[in-house]
Amino acid sequence: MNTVTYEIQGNIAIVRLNRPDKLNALNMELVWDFVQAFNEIEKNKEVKVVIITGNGKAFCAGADVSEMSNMSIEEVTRVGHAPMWERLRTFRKPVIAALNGITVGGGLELAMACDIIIAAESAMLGQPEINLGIIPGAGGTQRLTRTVGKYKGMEMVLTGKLISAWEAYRRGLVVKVVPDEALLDEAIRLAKEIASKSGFAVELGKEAVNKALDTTLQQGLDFERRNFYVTLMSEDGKEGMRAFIEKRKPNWKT
Amino acid sequence: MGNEILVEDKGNISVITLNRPDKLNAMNVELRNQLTKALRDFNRDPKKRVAVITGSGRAFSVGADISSIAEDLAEDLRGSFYPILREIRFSNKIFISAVKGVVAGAGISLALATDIRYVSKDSRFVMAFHNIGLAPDTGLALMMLRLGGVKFEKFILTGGEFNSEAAKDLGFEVVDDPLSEAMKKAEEIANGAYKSYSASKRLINRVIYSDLEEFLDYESAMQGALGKTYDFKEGIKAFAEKRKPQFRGE
Repeated sequence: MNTVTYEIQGNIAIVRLNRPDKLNALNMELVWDFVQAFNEIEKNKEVKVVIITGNGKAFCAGADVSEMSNMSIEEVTRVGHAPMWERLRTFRKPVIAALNGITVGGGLELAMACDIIIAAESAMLGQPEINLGIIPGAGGTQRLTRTVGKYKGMEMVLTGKLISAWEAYRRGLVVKVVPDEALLDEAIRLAKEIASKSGFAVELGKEAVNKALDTTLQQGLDFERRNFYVTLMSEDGKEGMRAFIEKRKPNWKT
Repeated sequence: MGNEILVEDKGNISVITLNRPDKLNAMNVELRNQLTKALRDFNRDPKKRVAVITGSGRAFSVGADISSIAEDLAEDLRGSFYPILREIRFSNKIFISAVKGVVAGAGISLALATDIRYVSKDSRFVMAFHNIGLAPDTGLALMMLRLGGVKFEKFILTGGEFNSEAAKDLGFEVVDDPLSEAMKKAEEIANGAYKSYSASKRLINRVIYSDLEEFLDYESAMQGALGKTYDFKEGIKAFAEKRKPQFRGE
C-alpha cells in the first residue's frame, strides 16, 4: 500500500493520499489502496473517526488523466473508481476531509463523499472537467448542486472555474477554514470532539443526516425517528440519559 | 479554588475584581474559570443589571499567565478565554471596566469587551504576544481594529506599547479615579432607562461583533499552530530566564 497511507492516533485514523508528485491524482492503484486502508480501519474497533488529507501541496487533483484516457469505456464503466465510492458509501464511522490544497474534479468529489469538510485557507475547489471536454462523474454535479444550489453548481460545472476555501465556506461546502499550518491540528481537534461521543449514536446520526439527501422529507423523518428509537434503547443512550440526570459524565460503551 | 476573583454584591450592580495582585492579575486557568463562573452567575441573576470589572493592586491585568499555559494554545483559548469574552459581549447586561496601571494582552481584550471603559491617566497598554512568538489573541485584532482603526494596526502586526491618551481612540475615557467613575456610571445605567441601554448594546453587537465567533475560531487555530513553533518555545524560555529571545522565524 503505497499510494494511500494511514496512521492510528488513539481512536482517530489519519488517511493520507500519497502520490504527491502527481498532486494525489486518483489512479487505479490508489483506488485499491484506498479501499484496503478503509477495510482495515473499519475492522479496528479503537478507531471512531477518520481524517482524510493529502500528502504534499494538493489534497487531490482528481482522476489521473493519462491513466483514464488509456482505459477502455468498458473498463471505466465496469470498475473505474467505483470501488472507492462504494467503500465510502457503506463506511459507518464519520470521515472528515481536511483539504490541504488544490481539491478539484474527483478530488472535490472525494471530499464531498466524506461527512465533514474543513479546508486550509489556500485550498482551491472546483469541478474543472469541462475543460477536458468531459463532465464530473462521481457526484460533481449532484452532491455539489445539493450543497451550493443549482445556479452556483451550474456555474462551477459549466465554466470549470475554481472557488477559494472562503467562498466554499460561505456556500456551506466547507464548515471551517483555518490557516494552512493549523489544518491537521484542527482536523484532529474536531475528530477528538466527535470521538468523545457515543460511537453508536454518532453512526446513527451520520446515517440519518445522509438520508436527508436521499429521500423525501417524510421518508427522512420516518427514518430519523426509527434511528432515534434505536439510540433511545441503546446501552449508550440509557447511560447518557442516566448520566445527565445524575449530573455526571457518561461512560460510553461504543 | 482560591479567591482569584472577588465579587461584591451591590444590589443590581456587581463589582467583579481580578484578585492576583502579586502577579499583576495575570490570568491563570483558575482565575479564568472563576471569572467565567462569576460572569455566568451575574448574567443568570435577573436582578442584576450592570457589572463593573476591575483589578486589585497596581494593575488591571497583564493578560495570560505564561507560567501556566496548556500544550494546545487553541484549546486554552477555546476552553477558558473565549467563554469570558462571550459572557461579557453577548450578554444583554451592561459591563463597565475600570482600568489602572498595566494592562496587557488578554487583559486588553477583557477591557475592550466591556461596553464602557474607564482608564487612569498613567496606564500602559502592552502588546507582548510577539515577544514570545505569538500573534494577538482573545479577539484583540478584531476588537482593536474595529474600535480604533488603522492607528492600531502596527500594534496588532508587531506589538508594542501605548498610553492612556492613545487608548482614547479605543473608546477609553481617561479619568482620575476609574473605579469611582465606573461605579457612578453603573448607578446611572442600573437606575435609568436600563432596557434602552441593553437594547442598544445588542444593536452594537449586530454592527460590530456579528462575526466574532468565526474570527475566534480562525484566531485560535492560528495560535495553536504558533504554539508549536521553535520561536514560541524560545520566547517562553527566554522570558523565564529573563533574557532576550533568539528567534529564528520558524
